[in-house]
Amino acid sequence: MLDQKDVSGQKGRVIERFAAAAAGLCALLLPINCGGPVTNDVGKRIIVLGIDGMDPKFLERHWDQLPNLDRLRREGDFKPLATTIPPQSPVAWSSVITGLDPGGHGIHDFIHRDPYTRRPFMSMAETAAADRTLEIADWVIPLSSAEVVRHRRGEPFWPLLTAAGVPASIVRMPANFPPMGEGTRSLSGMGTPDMHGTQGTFTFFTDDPGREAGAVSGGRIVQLSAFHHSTELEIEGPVNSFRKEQPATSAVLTVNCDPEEPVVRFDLEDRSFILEEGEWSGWLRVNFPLIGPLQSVSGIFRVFLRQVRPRFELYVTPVNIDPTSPALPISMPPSYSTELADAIGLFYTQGMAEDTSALRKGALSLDEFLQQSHSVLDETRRMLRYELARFESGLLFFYISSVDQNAHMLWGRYDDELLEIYRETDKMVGEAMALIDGETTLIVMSDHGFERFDRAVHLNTVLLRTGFLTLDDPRNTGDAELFQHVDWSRTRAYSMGINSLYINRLGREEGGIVAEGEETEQTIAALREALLAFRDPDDGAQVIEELYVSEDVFETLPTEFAPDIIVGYRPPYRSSWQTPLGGVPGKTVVDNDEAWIGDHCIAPQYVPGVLLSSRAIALEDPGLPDVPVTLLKEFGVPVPEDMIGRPLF
Amino acid sequence: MDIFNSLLRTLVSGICGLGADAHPMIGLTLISILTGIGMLWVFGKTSDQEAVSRTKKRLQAYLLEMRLFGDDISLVLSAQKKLITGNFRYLGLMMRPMLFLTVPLLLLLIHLDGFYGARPLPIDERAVVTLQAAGRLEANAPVPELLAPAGVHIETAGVRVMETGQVSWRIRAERPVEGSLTFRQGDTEWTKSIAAGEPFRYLSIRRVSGLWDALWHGGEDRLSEDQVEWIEIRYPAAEVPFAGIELHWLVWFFVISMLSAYLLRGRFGVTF
Repeated sequence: MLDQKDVSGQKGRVIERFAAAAAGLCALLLPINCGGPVTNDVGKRIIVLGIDGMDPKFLERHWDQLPNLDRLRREGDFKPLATTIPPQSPVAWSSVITGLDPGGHGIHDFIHRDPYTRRPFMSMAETAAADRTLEIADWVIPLSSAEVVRHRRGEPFWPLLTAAGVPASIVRMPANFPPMGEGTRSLSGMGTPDMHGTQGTFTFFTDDPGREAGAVSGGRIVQLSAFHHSTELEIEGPVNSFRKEQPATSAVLTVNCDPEEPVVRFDLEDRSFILEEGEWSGWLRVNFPLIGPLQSVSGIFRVFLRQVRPRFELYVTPVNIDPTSPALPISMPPSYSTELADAIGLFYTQGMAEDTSALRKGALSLDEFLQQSHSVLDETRRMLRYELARFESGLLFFYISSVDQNAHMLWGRYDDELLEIYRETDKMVGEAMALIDGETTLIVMSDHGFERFDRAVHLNTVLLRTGFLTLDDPRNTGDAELFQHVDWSRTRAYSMGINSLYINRLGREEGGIVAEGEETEQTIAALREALLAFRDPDDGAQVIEELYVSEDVFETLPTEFAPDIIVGYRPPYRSSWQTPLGGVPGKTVVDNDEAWIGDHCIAPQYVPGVLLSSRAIALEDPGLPDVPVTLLKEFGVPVPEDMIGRPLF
Repeated sequence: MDIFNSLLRTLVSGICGLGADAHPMIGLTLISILTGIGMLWVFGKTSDQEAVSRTKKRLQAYLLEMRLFGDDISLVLSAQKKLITGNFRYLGLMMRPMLFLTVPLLLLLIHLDGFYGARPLPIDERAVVTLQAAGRLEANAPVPELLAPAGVHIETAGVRVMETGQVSWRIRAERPVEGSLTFRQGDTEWTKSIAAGEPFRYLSIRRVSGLWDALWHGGEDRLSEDQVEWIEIRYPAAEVPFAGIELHWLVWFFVISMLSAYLLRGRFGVTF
């Protein structure tokens, strides 16, 4: 037995050993935490508000309605900000992230294609299933973890800041899923999927027999059989990858309609909520079982009771990743999304939260879409307030999606409604301006502006009519996707994605016919001549402003996923909705009769972004890659050689 | 049953309400310690203390036997066998006091859950009130009228769920409230208590009419009319915060009561 002296002696030795181990650990950790180029500008503060789609022309017309932006312009500076080729958000924001042009970061369109099979895929990131599994009866046990594959190349700028000891919060940066950067507070933005793995799939339940059921772009319409007072709705969750057949998981939402009043009680799991016609619910958390009660994933959604009678109509938002229990990595550190949810309540985690698809497909009216959109804006404001309140030093980048998503649905036709969105955004700018002092710089920037989208160009049909694309039978035009009737042995070029044009190259594409070298150059020249000469059959107007050959316009040679040519439409033209997925309809140009009336996927000179700063901007012609270079320079962090930007100040 | 429930409510409210304005842990700690002492007393009175002590010593001896004669496999196996049978004997000795403790503990837990399991309606948040009729609802039958005390806003008409015989309303508290909702149909009235705003207090989630139901829902006296089975307010679930950790009250209750029983066992001369 040990006596007291022995025990205290042992304790002493334990303490000595612990102290030695702690000192050793500290010595090991010091180079990790404090190594590298430590900056002298840690006390400096820079706030960057990234306002997607804020347009310089719109600002110029409404300075008197936007007092904070106007004051920022007068007391600081304001310039148009050159956008990328093409001016698409994932492309443009990737340039902000990496300081590279699209040739460098490798994001050229919302959609890329496999060069050999021509199969489309999302350009930003994809979720890859576990590559090693064990199958037992109907069950699949993953032996390795599934992962999200990010396609963007190039280093983001913020890990360089944090490595130099500059605190950085990067909130909702587009094309940053899963979020990057150890030591950064980061929430992923555009490109973050919903629980279905899509960019947002709403569900619209109706008992209207006249409504066609099935999948639509960005959602699904579910036809309910007639019911008296109660029915059960299936809220679809993610697919169950533990099952061989990978069925969709689901949760039951019970609907109880009052026999007379336009009011409904909904029962979900062990709770109930009541909505009157025309009301939105708050966020509802739901568990989707994967392995009975042993394993489940949590998602969140809201519902809108559009109508009770004569037809029951219920809109359900896409099921979002639950920020308090995320099924996929949406924040860095992982606890950051929970911290935000605790502070401001549950929030949309999907990349593009404004449900433009629901408006386009008639699941929401314009007023209802605006209600949904303002609720997103309200969440964004609460998130910004939280971040501004805790911002002490370093960089705060905060992304706002509302201007862009609303401009798509309002531009040129609903100016007052769009101005209201700008006003709300202006208030947020005002809240950030309140922090400006001698040590704090505010930069407000956007990735592109906007133009009208009145006429839709079926570019593959234009290629058909000009002899670059051939069908197996000329009568086989239509909306069928993935070039179903294209005869590749007689096709020299095809379009996939919004602005992307590809040569059907021998040895690259399956069944490609255009040889490298002179034949490719001749094809490109012929395409330029034919497409620039192409006119709108209705009024003879020029449709395409310019064609940009990737190898010529980018500083870094693009990858095999890059389009050979980028099409710069002249406003009010843009590629049709059928073009990105390989449709070849009958007409070349048609009226755009969709609710999506504004766009920016055109020639970049028509849609520059904006740059406002609390300090004078020295550059005459600033561009997107200048922003990250400026941030690194401001904090005294060396700029990597491959970044092509210049300092703004 | 109503008198019994009323006594328990008064007891729990009296103890748990001490300092509840300042922090819910004050009352919870107090009642947990008192419960620990109570369990100790009951255990001492209802268990065979001599047999418990003897069995524990034997168990320790078997353990020592295994340690000392680890190189003799037959002795180790024999000690293990005795250890297992000794454990069963020990569990058997626990059964009697456990039987005495189960019922009062269960009743106490039901009423403690009334105090700590839910929090009053937060101001400006919505809640659902449901009345369960004794039978199916008829489509042409009048909907009971709901009257709310000042400070509670009734936001929707009643939703009749015909199949289950329920009527639900959505309400919202506009300020702190301690009062009653009244449901009126013809000359008949039913009431249900309602509370909104801070702090923790005794809440009745469901007011019932049945005798058996009243055992589980003892927050209010039973409904006198048999036309209504129960009336319920969905209060939000609560967790008790302490030192930056928010946990279900049961966790704190068991930790504190067991710890106090363990620390005070010598003073009460109880072995377990």
